[in-house]
Formats: sequence, structure tokens, C-alpha cells
Amino acid sequence: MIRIEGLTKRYGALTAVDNLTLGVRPGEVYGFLGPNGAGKTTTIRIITGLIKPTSGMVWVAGHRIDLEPEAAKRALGYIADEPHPYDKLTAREFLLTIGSLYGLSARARANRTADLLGFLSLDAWGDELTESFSHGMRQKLMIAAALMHEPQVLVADEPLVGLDPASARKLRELFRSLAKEGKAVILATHILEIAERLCDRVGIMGHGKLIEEGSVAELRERLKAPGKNLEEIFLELTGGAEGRPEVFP
Amino acid sequence: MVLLGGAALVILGLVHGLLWVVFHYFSHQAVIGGLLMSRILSMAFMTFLLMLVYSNVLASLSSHFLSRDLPFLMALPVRPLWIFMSKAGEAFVGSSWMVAMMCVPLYGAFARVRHAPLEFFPLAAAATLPFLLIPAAVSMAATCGLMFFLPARKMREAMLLFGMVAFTGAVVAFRLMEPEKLINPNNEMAVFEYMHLLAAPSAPWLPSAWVANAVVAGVNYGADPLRYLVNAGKLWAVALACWAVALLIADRTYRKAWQQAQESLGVRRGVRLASRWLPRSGGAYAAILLKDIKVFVREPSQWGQILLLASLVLIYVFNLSRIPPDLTRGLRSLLFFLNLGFIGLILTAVAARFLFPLVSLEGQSFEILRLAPVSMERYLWTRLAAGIAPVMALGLALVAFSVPMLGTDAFMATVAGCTVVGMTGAIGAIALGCGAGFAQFRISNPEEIVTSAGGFIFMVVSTVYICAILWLESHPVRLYYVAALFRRPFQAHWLAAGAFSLAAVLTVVAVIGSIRYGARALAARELS
Repeated sequence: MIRIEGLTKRYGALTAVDNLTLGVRPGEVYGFLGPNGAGKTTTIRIITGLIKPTSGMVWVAGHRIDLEPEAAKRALGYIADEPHPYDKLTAREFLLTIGSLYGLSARARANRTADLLGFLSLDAWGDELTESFSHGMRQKLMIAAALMHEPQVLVADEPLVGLDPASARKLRELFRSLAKEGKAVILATHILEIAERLCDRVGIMGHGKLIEEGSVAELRERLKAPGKNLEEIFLELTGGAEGRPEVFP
Repeated sequence: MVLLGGAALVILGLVHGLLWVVFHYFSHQAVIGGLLMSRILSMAFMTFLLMLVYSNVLASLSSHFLSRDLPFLMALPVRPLWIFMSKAGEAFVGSSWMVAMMCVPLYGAFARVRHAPLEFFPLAAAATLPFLLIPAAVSMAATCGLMFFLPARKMREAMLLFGMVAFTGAVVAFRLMEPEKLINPNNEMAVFEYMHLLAAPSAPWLPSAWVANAVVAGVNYGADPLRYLVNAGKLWAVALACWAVALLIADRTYRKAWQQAQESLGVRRGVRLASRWLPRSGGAYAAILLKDIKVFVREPSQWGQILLLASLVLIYVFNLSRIPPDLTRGLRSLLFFLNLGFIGLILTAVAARFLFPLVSLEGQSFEILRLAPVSMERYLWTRLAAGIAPVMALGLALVAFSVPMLGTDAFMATVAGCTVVGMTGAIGAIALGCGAGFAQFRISNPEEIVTSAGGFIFMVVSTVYICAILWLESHPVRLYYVAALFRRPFQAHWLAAGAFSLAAVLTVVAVIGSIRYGARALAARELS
């Protein structure tokens, strides 16, 4: 559903993503992990078409993002790490506008808006301007916007940040149910416990490169680390364990 | 940077030259010359004072209450007064630098005409600093108090709207007062009437009067130092007292006022109108337009733009009505043709304010459009189609007013109408194209967006386009008037067809080229 081949992104002398190749299959939740500055967000923004790669190619639902951007975007939903809805629209108007942008019929827009506002417990706030929303509410609204057109591929960059526990749980369940429907979910997160429980496969990035990839069980086997959880594996792979101080300063 | 610095120096030089001409003229008027110069200084300082109060309130709202680093700063174990003071410095410099800069050519011109000694400049500066400090202290203390009644965002919107209304009113009022009568030597009565009209805002108890007195006294400091010292003393004493009171108020209220300022009023009944009256959006591009209309209705600071347009038409019509009726037909025709260039420049100014910032004003939410299956070229065409409607209405209204007032014939009226329609399309497209090419998604103030390098490039390109169109059309128009003057039939049909066709081709190229350039720039823009 998502295919990345030889993806490289350079900013001057800095190589943010270095010859990255990976794929996400339909019905799969793929966890994209890595320390800060590893190149996760850059990769995700290249997948969504917001950033152009220096070299390499990206396919979304069979469409190359650089050659068929409109078809690829129609198949894609994106939850950004920072929510920026239109401040002067109400939550309901915002979702209706998003529905129009993706070509939904009037009935589909209205039904989908009502369903998503209810699902994310925003129905009481539907007629309030989004400028009065808290960070968590804005994040929920952007999640609703990403789901509005029922995308085949959902790309989420730290989607759980700022969400209350009930909404976070709902979202985790939603990711699983989307995968069950045959859709692909690619999820960048620092919450390794959630990644371990939620993701079918994880890819661990460091310095712009994919260090390891596979299910958590496969990683344990490959690294000969039985009994270790994802956090321990992650720290071992990224060198975080060595830098950990024994006593908190 | 060098370009901006150079432009600033040129502007200051021009202001200095203009003021020198005015002061020089008045200095040669017997009896009332000195009085007029003092009055001009008081008027200038009164205007500065109002500008300072207004800009200090806005700057204080932004720095003391809406700045992004405030939640972090307020969480630090630091006395809120220190935060207030550091932000006050930022707000003071931000809101006062322009007035301070304008004082340079003002004092320079005044000193040159009055042959002031060099010591005049430090004396004037020493009187100006407290003059800048007083409105800053008063505005910042008042803003702290007002936060208990209005959330900061709503107050900023209200202030922006108020500022636009006040500015529009002042411009219209100034024009309707016909200040050119002052330099008409045959109109002495008008000068006295004018002086009488201006007598109202002299207000001797305001700092603007003290600083004007101090500056005038600074010229003769050697002969009469007391007059300067009394006025400068008043300024410094009041400035220190105002700051002492402002800091006392800030120490007691700032933290609470900041907390209070974070509340939002939500959607008021009146603001819901847009949701009720506007149709539920249709296709993708209609949705973008509906979103824009809703944002416009809900952003009170934008409403003042309509007033600005209305005031432009009013001043334009007033200027036309002042053209002497005894001008020859040929001169009137020439005026009418040159008037097309003037209309083009007005349309450029309006497009700079309304169309150029349109893409940038999407802000960081522009990401939503880039993620959607929306063509950037169709997006810009949609914006152009909707955006040029009011600009074209303005252009055609200006032509419609000027045709009967300048007594032009049907041929020239048709040429003017077609030219303005074409020019509006091209200027609108250039504005949108440049606005997209130089989009600044992290700036929310339209003035700041327009005054960027992209805005400068738009104005240059638009002016070049207007000159090219007028040059192309000037050949057939000149031959038409020569034929009419000598009562001969107009025979240069092929030349006219060629010139107007070239103008049309240039317009089409400008429209399509600008939109495509903007669309390519938007599609290639990296949003990280």
C-alpha cells in the first residue's frame, strides 16, 4: 500500500533521510520508530507530498506521489504532529470543508461529520470556533479530518500526543479496526509500549537510515534477545542504552 | 536589507524635502508664518501622540498577552514585573521607532528653515524621548486593566478595526479640508478659516503641546533657556511618574491580567450569521471560497478594508470634481488617458492589500490544502475569479465617475472600460502569483506580508505592466485625438487594432504566466 524506494533527503550538508527503502502492506499497522532527528517526520512528510525528496520514489496505493499527486492524496489521510485547523471555522464547518475538498457528496459529508464528531466526543463542541479549542481538542479534530474521506492509507505522526486516555484508547482501537478493513496505517511514535502492542511490524530509524525492521518477535530473534521488550531492543539498536546515566543528575 | 535601508533613506529624504518646502514657504509669510510653523509642529505631535497610544496598545497586547513564549516565562520562578518590563521594552521599541524616525526629517527641515544651532538636535532628542515614553506607559497600564474586561484576541481585533476606521476617517477628513488652499496666495481668507478649523486640537495640557513648545524653544535655547527647560521638565516629570504608576499597576495586576486574557469568548450570535446564511459548500473550490467568506465575516479587523475602498473612491471623485471646468477638451482628454494609469496604480495598491496576502493568510493551515487532492493552479484561478470581482467593481466605478466628470466621448470611454477590465485581471493575477511565490505562512499580519520583498516585486512588476499597456495604447489614442482636433476622420484602424491586440496579448500572458508561476511555486514549496 506504501512503497518507498531509495529515498534520500538532503538539507545542504545534512542528510536527513539516507537511501531508505521500505513497504507497508494492506491490513498492516507499521510503527515508525527512532530517536529525535532520526528522519521519521521528514520521511512521513515526503510520503504525504509536503516535502520533495532529493532522490528516490514513493508510491501510495499504487500512485507515485510526484507523478500522480491528486490520486495519491485521495487515498491518503495524514495526522500531523502539530494540529492547525482553520481558527475561524467551527469544528463542524471545518470537517464539512474537508469533505468538500475530498469530493464527498453533501449527504456523505453531513453523515461523516456527525459520526466523527460523535466518535471523538467533539459533538458538544461542533458549533464552536476551533480557535477556542485546547491542543487535545484540535488534535482530535485533525484526526477526524484525516479520517473524513475514509482513506486507504493513514499516516500518523505522534497522533496520541495531547489526547486524553479515553480518546487515546479509542484511537488505538481505530487503528486496529482500519487494519482489519484492509487499510494500511503507518504510525510514528515515541511511545514504545503502544507501538509494541499495536503494530504488526516496526521499522527503527537512526541517522536517516533504517536500522532494523520486522515484528517485535522477529527483532528479538534476530538480535538474540529473548524476553526483551521493544524499549530495550530500541535502546540497544539506537545506542540509547549506552548513554543512559546510572544516577539521575 | 541594503535595499530596504536604501528605500527608507529615500523616503526620509523625500519627507524632509517636502517638510522643508512647507516650512520654507510659511517662514516667508508675514505675521502668521511663525504661528503656522508652530501649529504644524503641534499638529504633527498630536498625530504622533494618537499613533503612539494606538500602536502601544496593539504592541502591548501582542508582547504582554499574546506572545508565544509567555506560558513558558510565566512558569519560571521570576517576578511577573520583570517579565512585564522586558516585554515593555520590546513593545516600546516596536511601536515607537517609526515616530522617532519621522522626527528626524521633521527636526531637520525645521532646523534648516529656522537656522538652528547644532545644539538644537540633542535638545530636541532629549524632549522627544519622554514624549515617546509617556504614551507607552499609559497604554501599557491601560491594556493591563482592560484585560479584566476583554480577552486579548478580541481586543486586538477590535483595536485593528478601530484603527482602520480612524485612519480612513482622518484621510477623508484631511482631503475634504482642501489643505492646498493654504498655498494659494489669492485665498488669504481660506488660510484664516483653515487656522480656525485647526484651532481645536491645540490642547496645551497634552505632552504633544509640551514637546512642540520645547522643540520651538530649542531653536533659541541660548536666548531663552527657561522656556525649553520648563517644557522638557514637564515631559520628563510626567514620563517618570507615568512609568512609576504603570510599573506599580503591572506589579499588582500583570499575572492576573495575563491569565484573564487567555480566555476566549467563543462564537457570538452575530458571528453565527455566516453559518446560517451561506450555503453548505459544494465542490472543493467552492468550499475554499466559502471558507474565505466565513473567515472574513468573523475577522472584524478585515471589515475596515471595505471602508478603505470606499474612502479611495470618495477621495478620487472629490479630486476629479476639483479639476477646473475651463480646461480645453484636449487637456481633458489627456487627463482622462493619464487617469487610466492612476486607476492602474490604485488597483495595484488595492491588490497589494487584498490579493497579494491571500495565500499567505492561509497560515500553517495551508498544509490542509496541500494534502487534499486539489490542483494548486485551479486553487489560484478560483481565488483570482473571486478576488478580482470587488477590485474590478472598484476600477469600473472609478472609470464610470471619471467619464462624465471629464466629458469624454464614447470611444475613449470604451477604451478605458476595456483597459480597466484587462488591467484588473492582470494586476490581480500578478498579485496572486507573486503572493503565492513569496508566501509567508508564519506571518498573520497582512501589512507585514505586503511590505516584504515579494510585495515590492509585485508592485514593480505591476507598474511595469501598467506602463507597457499605456505605452501601447497611447499611439492609437494620440492619433484619435489629433484626428478629432483637426476634424478629420480617424484612419489608423490597423495601427489601433495592432496596438490593442498587443495590449490584450500582454494581459493574457501576464494573467496565465502569473498564475502558473504561483501554482508551480506552491506545489514545489516544502512545508516542514
